[in-house]
Amino acid sequence: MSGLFDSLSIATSALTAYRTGLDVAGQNIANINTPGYVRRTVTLAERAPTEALGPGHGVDVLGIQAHRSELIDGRIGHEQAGLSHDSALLDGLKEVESAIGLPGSSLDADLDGLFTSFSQLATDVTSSSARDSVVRQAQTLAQGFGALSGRITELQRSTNVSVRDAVGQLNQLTDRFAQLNGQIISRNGTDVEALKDERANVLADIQSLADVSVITRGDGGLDLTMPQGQALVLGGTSNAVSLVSTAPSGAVSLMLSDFDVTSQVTNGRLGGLITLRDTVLGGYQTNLDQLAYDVATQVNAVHASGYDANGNAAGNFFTAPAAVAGAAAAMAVDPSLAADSQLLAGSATGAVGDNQTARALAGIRNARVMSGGTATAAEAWSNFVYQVGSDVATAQSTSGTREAVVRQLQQLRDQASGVSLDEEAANLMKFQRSYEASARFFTTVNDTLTTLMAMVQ
Amino acid sequence: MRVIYDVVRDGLFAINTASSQLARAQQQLSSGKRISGAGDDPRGTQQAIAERSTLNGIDAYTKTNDAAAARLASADSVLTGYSDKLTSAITTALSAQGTQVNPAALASSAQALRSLRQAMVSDLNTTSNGNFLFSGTNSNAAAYAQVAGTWTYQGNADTAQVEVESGRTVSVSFNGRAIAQGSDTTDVFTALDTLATAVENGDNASIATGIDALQRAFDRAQRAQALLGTDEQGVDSAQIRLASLRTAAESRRSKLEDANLAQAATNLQKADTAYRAALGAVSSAERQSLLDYLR
Repeated sequence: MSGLFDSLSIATSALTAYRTGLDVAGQNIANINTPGYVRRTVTLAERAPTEALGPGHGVDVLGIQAHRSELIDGRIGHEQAGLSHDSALLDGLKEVESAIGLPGSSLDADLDGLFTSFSQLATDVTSSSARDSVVRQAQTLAQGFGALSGRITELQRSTNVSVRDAVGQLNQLTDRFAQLNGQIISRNGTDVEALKDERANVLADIQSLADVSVITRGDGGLDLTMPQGQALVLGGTSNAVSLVSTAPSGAVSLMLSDFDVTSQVTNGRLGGLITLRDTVLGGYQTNLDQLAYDVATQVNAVHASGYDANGNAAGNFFTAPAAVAGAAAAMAVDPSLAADSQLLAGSATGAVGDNQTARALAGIRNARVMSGGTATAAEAWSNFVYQVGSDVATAQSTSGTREAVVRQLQQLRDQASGVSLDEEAANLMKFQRSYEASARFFTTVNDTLTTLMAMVQ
Repeated sequence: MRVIYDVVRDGLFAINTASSQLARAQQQLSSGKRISGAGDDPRGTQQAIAERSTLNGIDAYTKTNDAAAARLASADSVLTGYSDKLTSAITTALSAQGTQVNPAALASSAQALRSLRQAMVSDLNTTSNGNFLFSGTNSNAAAYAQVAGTWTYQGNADTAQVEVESGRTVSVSFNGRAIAQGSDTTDVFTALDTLATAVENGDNASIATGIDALQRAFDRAQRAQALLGTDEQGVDSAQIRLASLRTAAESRRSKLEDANLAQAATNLQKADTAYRAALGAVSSAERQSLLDYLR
């Protein structure tokens, strides 16, 4: 049978437990704005009686539980990776959208301007001003192609710089992740919740950069691998991603343990940047080059069949493009023609008043001779604009959807792991009252002991 | 169920969404444009480019029409004067026929015929913007000039055509020889010179031959003018059709690109209301918690 001193022990255990409860509530309130913080609750258990008819020995603090949801965290990580991918893609696409301009103030106007100048030349083929106008319009068109191609190339370069920066961030994060992993493993599950919170934050940052696979270890650590298995983090060790530049563009490839993992990074901000640089912008550049190539070769073919104002067989109108690749950037009016518009071919017979070649040049406007004979110049340009616009709209839509999904998942996580001020206030009140009652019990036992002591004096 | 409201995440999302809609409505109303980027309406942007290309093509045809109409009017005017002079020459030659005409009158008639010939040469050597109208496509050479004492056509038989609308062309330069000579063995200027000599000599048979040649020249001029008049009518009707097509294309373009201002104003009002509502919702979210009641 227990004595009064055991009662004091019960009171002491209760005071300790409820002070811990108050501390946990205080810790939760203190970290309500800490990113990644998971709410804690104190787990109490009765100290069971050790003899028959015994009341028990008080209360024990079994532990402080962190309400982490690995499932929701994993889903948020995956969706966040997609959102970062879409955001990176959308940012780049917005720049292209801005570069191509609006109908009537872009290459479509330059193309129409050239063909209109050919039409005007056909009405007065001997007019020097009409000839000069054609050359000026052609130079404007060539500059338009060059400027747009240059913007796309510059965007590819800046995206490449962003890829370098993102890989640098990834390496820092995986390094930190490995350090945290090591600390968690070494503590063998004791007092690791704060470390796990920070590790979860680092993991979220890593997943927003790249789609990595997470493998849970038996020792409490997490391993990170690329989709095809190359290890980024193994326990407390991280493997840095290195960069290899490819000439002449300087585009970097991602190397991990001697493997080129560039194509494996398809999600996260890094994945978005690589998709933007290699697939999207590369595709746009190819389409633009194709249009420039088609315009130059079609105009050249008609022009070279005619005669200039001096009655001589005409040469090229545009500098002949060597290949489709680079045709937009290199587009230029033939230097001889640019210097002397009399070399412009308007006649198909050599007669100075003949305008058949000028008419044929003007006729290219409505001829489906671009894109492998399927489109006019304006249609080919509008197809290009549609592709960019469609990509922007799709990325916006996908990004919006993902944003909503991430937000919903974050709300779900908050339901399980977030700190509620109302809840913490209730806990404060509960533990405070319990503490007061335990203190009262302690005082009562103490008074009883005092009475007892007085009896024996 | 635990309900957690994150002011920063949930509140700002609502404000940003409403703010974005407000900015878009403001942009549409201030710019008058429905599309601010290809991503707003990819298909609409594509169609707008096509409509603008159509409009530019129509404008190009319209400019060509204007230039062609000016050339045709100029040629028409020249041929009217040319025909009038031929009529005068025929009248002059007819008055010189017979045996009762005195030598002084014959000499005067011969002089008049040579003057008319000179004026008709000038007519066929008319230029438009520095181009000889009646030299075919050899437009930098006068149609007729005397070479070694002989009237010689310096142009060619080709004519420059311009497209005044899709599939329709008109000639803006003319074959002077077809007008001045046609299938005759000599051109009208040589015929006039011969006629003047015949008038001086009182050679009635040669005068009659000359009058016949002038009559054929008159018929050729009339035929050329009739063809030219047909082309002028074609240009006029093309211009009317082009104006109609332009109006339709402009309407389609406007529908694709321009904002419906009444709709934009309504959207602005709705977006403004949504924005204020979002602000209000977020501010009310900063409500009191249980902590405020624990004293």
